[in-house]
Amino acid sequence: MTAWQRFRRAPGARLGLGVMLVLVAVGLGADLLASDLPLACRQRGTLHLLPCLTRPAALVDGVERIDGWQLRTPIPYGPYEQHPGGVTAVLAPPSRSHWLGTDDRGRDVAARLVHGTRAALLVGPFAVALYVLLGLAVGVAATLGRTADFLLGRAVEVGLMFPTLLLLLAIQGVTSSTSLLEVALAIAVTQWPHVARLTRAEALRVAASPHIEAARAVGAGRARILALHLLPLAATPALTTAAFGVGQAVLFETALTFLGFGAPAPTASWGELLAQAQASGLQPWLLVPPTLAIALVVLSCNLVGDGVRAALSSTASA
Amino acid sequence: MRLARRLMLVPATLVGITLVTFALLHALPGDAATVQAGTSRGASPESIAAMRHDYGLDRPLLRQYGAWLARSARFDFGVSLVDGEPVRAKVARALPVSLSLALLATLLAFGVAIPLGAALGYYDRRRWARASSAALYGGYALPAAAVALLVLHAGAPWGARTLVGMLPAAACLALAETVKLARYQRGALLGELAADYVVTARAKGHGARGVVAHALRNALLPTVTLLGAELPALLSAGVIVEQVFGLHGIGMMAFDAVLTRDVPLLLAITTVAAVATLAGVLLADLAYGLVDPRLRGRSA
Repeated sequence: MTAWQRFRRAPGARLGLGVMLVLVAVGLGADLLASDLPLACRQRGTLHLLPCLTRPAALVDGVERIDGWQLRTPIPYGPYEQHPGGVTAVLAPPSRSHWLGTDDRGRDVAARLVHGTRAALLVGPFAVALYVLLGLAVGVAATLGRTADFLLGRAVEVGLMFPTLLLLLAIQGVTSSTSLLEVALAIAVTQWPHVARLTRAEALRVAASPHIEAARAVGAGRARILALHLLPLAATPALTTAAFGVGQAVLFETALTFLGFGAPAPTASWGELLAQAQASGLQPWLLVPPTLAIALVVLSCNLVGDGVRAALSSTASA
Repeated sequence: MRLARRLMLVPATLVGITLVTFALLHALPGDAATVQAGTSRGASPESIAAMRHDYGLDRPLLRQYGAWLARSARFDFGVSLVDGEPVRAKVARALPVSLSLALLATLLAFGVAIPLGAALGYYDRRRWARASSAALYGGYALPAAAVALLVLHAGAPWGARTLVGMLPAAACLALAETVKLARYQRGALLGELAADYVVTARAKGHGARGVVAHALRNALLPTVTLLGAELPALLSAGVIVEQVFGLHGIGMMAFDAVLTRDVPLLLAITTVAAVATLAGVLLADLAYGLVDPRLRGRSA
């Protein structure tokens, strides 16, 4: 039975993967779910298809000018726009026109929640991919020799000493600029030692196994052994942490944005909604939706992570 | 032996920590002094020159690092750019708050997680244990900020200064760790309960208490090793909890320092947090030696 089959048989892992795919779909299709422009419309005799994605100049000025028919997105608001028609309903509770109410600038919370999926799903996987690659490289490099192992081991030990969020704050403080890319980079910088430590232990174990010796005996070069014979086996713990890591990275991203240092101001982010919940005296429609969204992401990542661990660990024991 | 080797590596780690903060100082775009002067309003050319001299930015890089190392060893990170107070004094005032918060959270986390995890492991077949395990799984996914906001809204004190007043904040901080530890403890006990010696104990007629006493001892070991890894996580999550509960610890101070671009203060906090973590890791190693006599024998 392959690892994939074992993974699929675990109900939790399948659920987690399903939820994750739905969330990715929501993130990719955010503009189809929530936009100030319709899915299709007719304006002054011209038919516009999916103007919510293409944003033609003729429509961007305002929906009110559409004179023909129109098909709106399920949530007829964009993440940035205020209440159309000039009526700004600030901090309005959920109603028929705003399913999840509005925030302190009269923006639709449901629209910002949907678009916040993008921030989370951009930062999470990107940061994890970066630090898993870095951690793998450092961890495998530890098998190159005792000096390399000692020096890299010191670097990893130092890296493990810094509390992630404090180091993230320090990085934000000295670089003084914030973008989603920098948030992802900062998370990667603070998290790689964990992967490196796990990979090093596994790499040293694998390096002592007979198949590496056999590869060396038939004359395989050092680089070939590292890349083809060692890395695939030593990557197991790193792959397991990667699944959990996406959830943790989303938690870090929302925590940073909650503090006000994450994504720059108009970007829709779940952490920003939490910050608004704090600032507005804990209005439930600002607190509950982002909390559930974050929990859903972290939960699905953890379920997938458990599934990956179970699938890969039984490969090793079989 | 193990501990002695670890202690010998401590200086190397400390040097590494200062290298990171030094890199942070030089990660400032342009020149540290001009950037700070540019962002803090009303900085005169004299103050820029003073700051540049203070950091020795006119000297070669290696000399600069040497000076930085010497200053770090004395925890001398200069004065705060906001009010001119020595950074050391500021951090010394905030650190006890954060450390007592982390200590309270650790006590809570271990105090709740070990019995809880053991109970969940022992009664693994019961429906309530399965349901609780699933609930714990969900609790781990909740963002700390939301939990803290809810607890604060439920009537927890804001800006508490006593240990008792800090309890709700510590509970929020402990939540994620408790869940992690309880799940770990449950798994460890389940593993031990399946071991041959437990089967023997059962066969000899030991009741639940005897069996748990046998198995729990061994199942405690892996959980105690986690103790050392907890401090960085607690200091990290502490930033959020301190900010929500208005506690003036180093997390809150770091938050303010980012807002005011108080780089000396930020560097000092980063260094102190790393050194505190190092101390915590060493203490945990010591605790591990105490719990596991085999390791103690080896170290003698």
